[in-house]
Amino acid sequence: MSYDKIPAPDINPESKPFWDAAAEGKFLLRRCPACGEAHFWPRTICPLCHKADTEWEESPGEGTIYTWTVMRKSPRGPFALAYLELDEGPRVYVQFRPEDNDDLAIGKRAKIMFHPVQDDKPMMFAKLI
Amino acid sequence: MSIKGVASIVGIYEHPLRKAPDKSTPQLHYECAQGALADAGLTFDDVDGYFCAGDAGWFMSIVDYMGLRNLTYFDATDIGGSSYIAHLNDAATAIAMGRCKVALVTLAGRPRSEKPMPRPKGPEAGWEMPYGGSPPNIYALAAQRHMHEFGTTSEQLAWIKVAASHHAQHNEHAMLRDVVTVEEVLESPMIADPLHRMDCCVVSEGGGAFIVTTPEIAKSLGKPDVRLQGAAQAIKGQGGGKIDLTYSGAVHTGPKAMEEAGVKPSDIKYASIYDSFTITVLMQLEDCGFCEKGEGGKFVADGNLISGQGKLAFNTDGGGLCNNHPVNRGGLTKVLEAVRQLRGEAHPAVQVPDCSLAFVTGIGGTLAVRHGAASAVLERIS
Repeated sequence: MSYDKIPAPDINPESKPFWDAAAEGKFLLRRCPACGEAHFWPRTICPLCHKADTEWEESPGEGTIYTWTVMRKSPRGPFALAYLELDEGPRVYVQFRPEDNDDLAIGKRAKIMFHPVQDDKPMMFAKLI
Repeated sequence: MSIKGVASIVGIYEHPLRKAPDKSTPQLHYECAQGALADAGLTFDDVDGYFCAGDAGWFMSIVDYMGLRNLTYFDATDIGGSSYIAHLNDAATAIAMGRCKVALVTLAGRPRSEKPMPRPKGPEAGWEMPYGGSPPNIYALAAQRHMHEFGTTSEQLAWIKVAASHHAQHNEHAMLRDVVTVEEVLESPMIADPLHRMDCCVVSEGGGAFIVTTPEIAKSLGKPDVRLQGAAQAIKGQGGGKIDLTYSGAVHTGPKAMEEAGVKPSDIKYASIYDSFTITVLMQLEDCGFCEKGEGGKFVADGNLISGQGKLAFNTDGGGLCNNHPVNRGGLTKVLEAVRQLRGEAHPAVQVPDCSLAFVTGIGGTLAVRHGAASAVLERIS
């Protein structure tokens, strides 16, 4: 898997703050002041309780692997997908950096990271820690 | 209020082609519609309800192309490959309400000959689409977790493919007709851990169609009365990050459809279970109540899904794993084989004796990200 074969993420007015922070290497979540829950991917109105506008918060992006796979047959080379269960709660669908392809296991600790892809835009990945 | 008994399937057609380089996709839809109407003894002018999904393209165009002039009800809800089982439910609901009397459902496409139509971008696109995740790897995420939680093995998953291959050997149209062993499945190349190539369905062209109508019209046509007795549909997404991969949306549809029909899993004589991947079958068996959660591996092992050998005959046409999977959407052909079983028209080598009650269930979209589920109970009324 090479990063230059990955298209830049689609950005809209609602998601722009996330990607602006990503450009500075920061990982943001949104949390609901009404139910107290963090969720992912970020939505302005809480998708869990539907009661309030959520608020951005910075997260270390750390958690444990809930599940994983390595796609062996791909024109862009093998790549790993996973759900990372963040310490804040949400399980995040994410691609692992290729260096970790052979070492993934359920329960291992990992962390969100960003890496430039096409158009030099940052995309979200995960790495083992 | 219930849809139990309000509608019958009177016409079915499965396109014989598995590759169609010289036809257009609308042409395949049209041919499938024509075949199903001929089977029912009806004409295009009798059709006043039409249901299709994204494979048909722009809805108004396909209606115009086929010359469907008398439509009073229609729906193009797309929940991936399970759409057509939901369309059966929707058609019956519309028939019950008197919105239409003869409903046509079609599926067709050419994924080996032309590029698939791009899917509209959802609000999650920024966080998901760049990864290029596709069904094999996304279904693999669910399989990996199932193995972790319940000790399910690759050998157990392989039995699902083995059973499908036993059935496909009798289907002259099936893409893969060779009977395979558990060892051969395990020796096939790893595609997306833990799914091997033979855990994955075929990619095929072609399609199919069926006709739903009132029991009265069904009787007047002199066709075997295959009655819809229960149906349910659901969507399962990521739940804002609370996704639990130990179950599928079928947990909300299989038991509900059976409850509406007033039957239990042990009453079912034949089951069409959408088999995009072996794990898809295993999870639906558990979620629909054919076995306890986590026991799916034991349930499918040792040929238990092979017609005439095991307790539950499944996908006796060879299913998506061996027969066909038109446009990467397997729900419609699941309805067709269930109707064949209930009519006694399945291949004699796989026909379930006196098959009076069948179950159909499907998962469309991607099991471990977001998917639709739809289930139905069909009964032959003598």
